[in-house]
Amino acid sequence: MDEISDDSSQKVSKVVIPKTNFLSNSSNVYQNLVVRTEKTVGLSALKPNALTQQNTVLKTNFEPNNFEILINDKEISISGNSKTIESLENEIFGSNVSLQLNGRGQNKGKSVKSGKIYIPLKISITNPRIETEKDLFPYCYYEDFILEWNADPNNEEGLLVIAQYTGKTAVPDYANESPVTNTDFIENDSGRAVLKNELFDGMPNTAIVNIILLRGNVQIFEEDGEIHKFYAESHEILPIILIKDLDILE
Amino acid sequence: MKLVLLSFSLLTILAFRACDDTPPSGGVGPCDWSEESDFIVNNIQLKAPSGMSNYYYGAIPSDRVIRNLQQPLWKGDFWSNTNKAYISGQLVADGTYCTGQISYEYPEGSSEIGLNFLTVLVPANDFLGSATIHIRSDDYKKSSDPQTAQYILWQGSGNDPEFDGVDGNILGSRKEYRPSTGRLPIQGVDCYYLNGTRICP
Repeated sequence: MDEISDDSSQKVSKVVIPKTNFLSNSSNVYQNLVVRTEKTVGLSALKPNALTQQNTVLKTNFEPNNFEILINDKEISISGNSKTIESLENEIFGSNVSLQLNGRGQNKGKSVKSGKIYIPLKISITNPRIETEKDLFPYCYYEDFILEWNADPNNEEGLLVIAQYTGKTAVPDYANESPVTNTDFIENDSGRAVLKNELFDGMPNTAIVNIILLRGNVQIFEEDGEIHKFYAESHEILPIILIKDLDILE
Repeated sequence: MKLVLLSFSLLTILAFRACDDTPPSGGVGPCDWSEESDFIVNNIQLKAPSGMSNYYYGAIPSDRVIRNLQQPLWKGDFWSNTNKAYISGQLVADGTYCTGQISYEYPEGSSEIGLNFLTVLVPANDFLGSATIHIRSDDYKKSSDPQTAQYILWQGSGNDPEFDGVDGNILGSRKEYRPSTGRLPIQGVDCYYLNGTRICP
């Protein structure tokens, strides 16, 4: 693990590359995301916590003004300088969709089209349930941690669950300065999973942890000898305080 | 100054052992986190939660909204000389240009904390990724029990490629602990989750 410290200040700033672990050996569609492709178009919906609106953005590895981007033959409309999607959002999640790119300007005449893939419903964590500001950062016991969400019976690609610990704890005495990120694959989108205890390995009692639940779909396709990528996903972040020893609660 | 472009990226580094030095065949390689850049926290409105002491509310704006990144880190009134406030978080590359993530932690007073930005390390080449920011206040005395420390946690995230930062409109959450015992008081004031069940003792 690399660590860079700024010793010139009285207190020390730290920048660390976290240890990362993947708990499942199952192959899954999300592995296609690291394939290097000529053109990548992605739709990403983030919900920073249960009390915040989900924001969907468009991601491309090319200047989007150079191509008309169509989903199911309808052009995506984006908002001003932002890439927040204003239209079609409700036609993407929970639907079979295809991507088409039509070149503009000097790219005129170039065209790329994917096959149809199913994009699962937007994710929403339902338990632990966060309804008010007071519910944020709930205390959660790590063994047999039950996570529940809005199931999507049409999703055949499973979900990813990620536990992200940045090295800070609710009780400073337990502080462990080694960030770690553990990831597991949930095969069945049933709306409920008992998380593996190992998802919280390397995280101390009272660790401040982000649980991230994510689902989507990825398609790699070839056209005219070039490989392209189209994906869409949604994810919600559930910040918790991890309890490893119940005796700490009084 | 390099512009940090943000978008979703967790999949690529979290789903796989993407921090390995050797990328898979045809895959994207790990990031070289070697360049300093400022990422902006837009629209900073850190909302203070209910239940803090009059001392705390007297130190922040009357609408209980803090509009910069330094004020939430001010020294509290708990029985300690050490300020426990900090800003931490993560940057996660999305695999478009490289894969990997980096965690940062800046205590109160760090030169990396500006009024509305944080100086962070980013990859030397193009970067697309997501960002998380986590702010903890110092400890404050609880009005009804001065031996109990109260503090506030704020957390925000961003994935907008053109937003070059995180939306700073964030609700704070009040948390408590007893430094003398190292325990978390929840009896009658908070709840916890055990096997999917919410328990409020």
